Amino acid sequence: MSGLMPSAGLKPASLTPGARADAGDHVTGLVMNRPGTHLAAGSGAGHVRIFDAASGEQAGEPAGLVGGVLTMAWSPDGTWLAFAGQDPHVYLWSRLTGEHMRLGGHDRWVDRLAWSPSGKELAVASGRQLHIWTPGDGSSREFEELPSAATGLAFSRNGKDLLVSAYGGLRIVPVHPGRPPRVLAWQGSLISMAPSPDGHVVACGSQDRSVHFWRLASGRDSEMRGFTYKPEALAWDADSTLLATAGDASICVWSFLGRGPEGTSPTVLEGHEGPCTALAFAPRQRMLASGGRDGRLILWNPTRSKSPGAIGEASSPVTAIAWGTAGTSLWTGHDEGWAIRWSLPGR
Amino acid sequence: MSKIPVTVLTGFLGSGKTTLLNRILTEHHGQRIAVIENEFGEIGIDQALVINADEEVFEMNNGCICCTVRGDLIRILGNLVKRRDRFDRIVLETTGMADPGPVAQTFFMDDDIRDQFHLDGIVTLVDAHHVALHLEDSSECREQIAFADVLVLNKCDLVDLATVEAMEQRIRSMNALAKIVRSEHARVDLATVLDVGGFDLERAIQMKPTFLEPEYPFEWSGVYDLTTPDVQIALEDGPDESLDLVWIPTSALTLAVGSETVERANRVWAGEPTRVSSGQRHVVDPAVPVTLDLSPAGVKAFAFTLPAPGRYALFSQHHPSEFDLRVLTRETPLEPLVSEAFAAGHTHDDEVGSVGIQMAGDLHPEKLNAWLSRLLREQGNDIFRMKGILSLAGSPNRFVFQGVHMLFDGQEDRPWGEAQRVNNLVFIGRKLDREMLNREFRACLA
Repeated sequence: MSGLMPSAGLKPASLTPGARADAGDHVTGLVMNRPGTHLAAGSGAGHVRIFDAASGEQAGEPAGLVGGVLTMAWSPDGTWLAFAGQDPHVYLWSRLTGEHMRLGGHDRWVDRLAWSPSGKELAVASGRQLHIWTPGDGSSREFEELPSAATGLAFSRNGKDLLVSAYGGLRIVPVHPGRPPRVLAWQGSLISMAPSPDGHVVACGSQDRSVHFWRLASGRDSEMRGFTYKPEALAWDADSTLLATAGDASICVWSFLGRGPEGTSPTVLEGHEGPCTALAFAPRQRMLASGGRDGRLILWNPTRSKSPGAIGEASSPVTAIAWGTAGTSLWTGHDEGWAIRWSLPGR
Repeated sequence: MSKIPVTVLTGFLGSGKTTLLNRILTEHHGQRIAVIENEFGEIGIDQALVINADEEVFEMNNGCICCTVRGDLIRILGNLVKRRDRFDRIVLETTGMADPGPVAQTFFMDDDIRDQFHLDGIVTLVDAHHVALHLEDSSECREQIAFADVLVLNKCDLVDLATVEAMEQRIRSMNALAKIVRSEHARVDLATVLDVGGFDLERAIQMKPTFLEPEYPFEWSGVYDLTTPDVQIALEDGPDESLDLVWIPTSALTLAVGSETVERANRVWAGEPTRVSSGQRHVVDPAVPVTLDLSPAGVKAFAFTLPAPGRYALFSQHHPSEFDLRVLTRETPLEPLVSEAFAAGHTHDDEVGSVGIQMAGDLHPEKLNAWLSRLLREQGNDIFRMKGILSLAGSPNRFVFQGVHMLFDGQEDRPWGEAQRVNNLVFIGRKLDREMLNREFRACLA
């Protein structure tokens, strides 16, 4: 890492693009499967394409979705891809057998999907409807209607609850009936959600240009203000110690070490010209990748330097980032419809 | 990249929204149109993308209703632009009970939406057959009319012409800015409802709108040449139990705002009226107003004797169509040589209405900004829409702006050039104080 991250004042390293994959249209999402062998790219026109993560060769194109892709998720074992979007169904595709399944339908677009930690169940949010499907037998359970459409959906770390962000706050909905949902209210519209990997904190971007977060054990909430744009991009590092947030050209990195981040100042990373649209920490290090409307991919080591460590340039805005599981390569998705593989230098 | 136009269709259930929507989709088949619906309609067209959405009104900060937006629109519109082959147009069909405020405010409040879409027009369908009832008991109905850029008075085949005219007069008094079109089965020229362009203030001014006029206490006047001093006025039942009139002798054939005849009528109107009953003969003193007692039901006839035969202008508190008022001599109906409608001056404070300001001179930008900010902070709840073309001191360009409740957005437009630098602005809302708005606006001149 030291070869990649020069000390302040030195010119950042330059990243050169590697394989380029045709994703069909504006990339709405990139997801890497667990072993890191396959990348799925979804497009705003409805393409779902699977690429070999090392070569960029296309390895499949599951069909079915009528409109644009809004959500995709690999099963925890990395074999099934679930995807959905501007269409009332949820689609499943097996990387091993090419088998297709279709679940549904709901009344509305399907906004969010999340696999349970066991990989046996799939949570689906469609407008105010919330379901859990068991793809193994095709059965489903419907939950009480949400007061507002879900904007973020995840299973809790232990798999016992669903975390749902929406207008009005964060809801913690028990997967099995018996307990009422726990509501962490917030008078505002939450537009994005990122639970920390250790399950202790849930951070949400808000329409009112703030980032709100809750400590689940106590329910205590805090807020970060001062963005000039909606903070849609949020990312946790693997240790749950750093939270990166972006709404405009600046990236703020908050440290949850000690008593932070309350009462502390964030590390502010300046390097994009225009809004930063995608953030992702490497799987096992504190290396952060950011992508922006300026077409730049920037690598940072925020605990060591406020200066970019390496910069890659593309001609089209970055819309998504997915790391390889080893943390030695990553992919960016772009507005003009392709995905680019980048190798980290000196590795 | 040009912004995608969004057309909003509002109106009560049964007013013909779905019929109009289907017409837009069939007759604009060259375009890629996405339709966002908040209630299940019966769209008969396959090629359009139809999105069903739950109407979600979000408060942006601290419960202020002026900062409410439609969260469902932010999500859906944001997702619709994430493709290269973009839609040519979005049509949003709201529920009959929807408040247009949050819809319009969404296009001001959200950065992404403002960057990529523009609110082309709010088209409100009004059922000529039922709207009178809705106007009485529904604030949603009044607000849908007040917010409209285009008002389609539909189902005109189901009511008589006098009712249509009275209704048009009534909705015109609520929203002086909108284009009003009459239709049957929502058959309107689509050019009148699409590509409205949001900014049709100039068109409205060219139409010599009554909202820019000083406020008169009468709504209508007509000029008659009388060959006899004896004249009858016959009326049917109408919305009020009395009607004030003034007879002014005149030699002119004009009823222009500010003309001698009209100004004289305005002065006479201020006097104590004489009350007359149906069947009575009344000798008219042109310096005294007359109040007709309309309390008995059925047809009422009033006989007047004027000082001499000749040309008179009759001024009426309400539009004649509201009472089916007829002027007769020797029992023969008489048509006015010219007639003119005036801005309704008798609207109650809590009613929805329009105030137009037209004033020459350059504005002091800071004074204007301070005034608008204070006005919107204090009265934003009651100001539904405003539009203006302003002359700012020091700028060669016209400044155009529009606003919804507390939000407003303006930019420099083309140069004034040879044109006279005149400020024009219009407010549509509740409890608007015309005199105060004019006075405070005048104080912003440089």
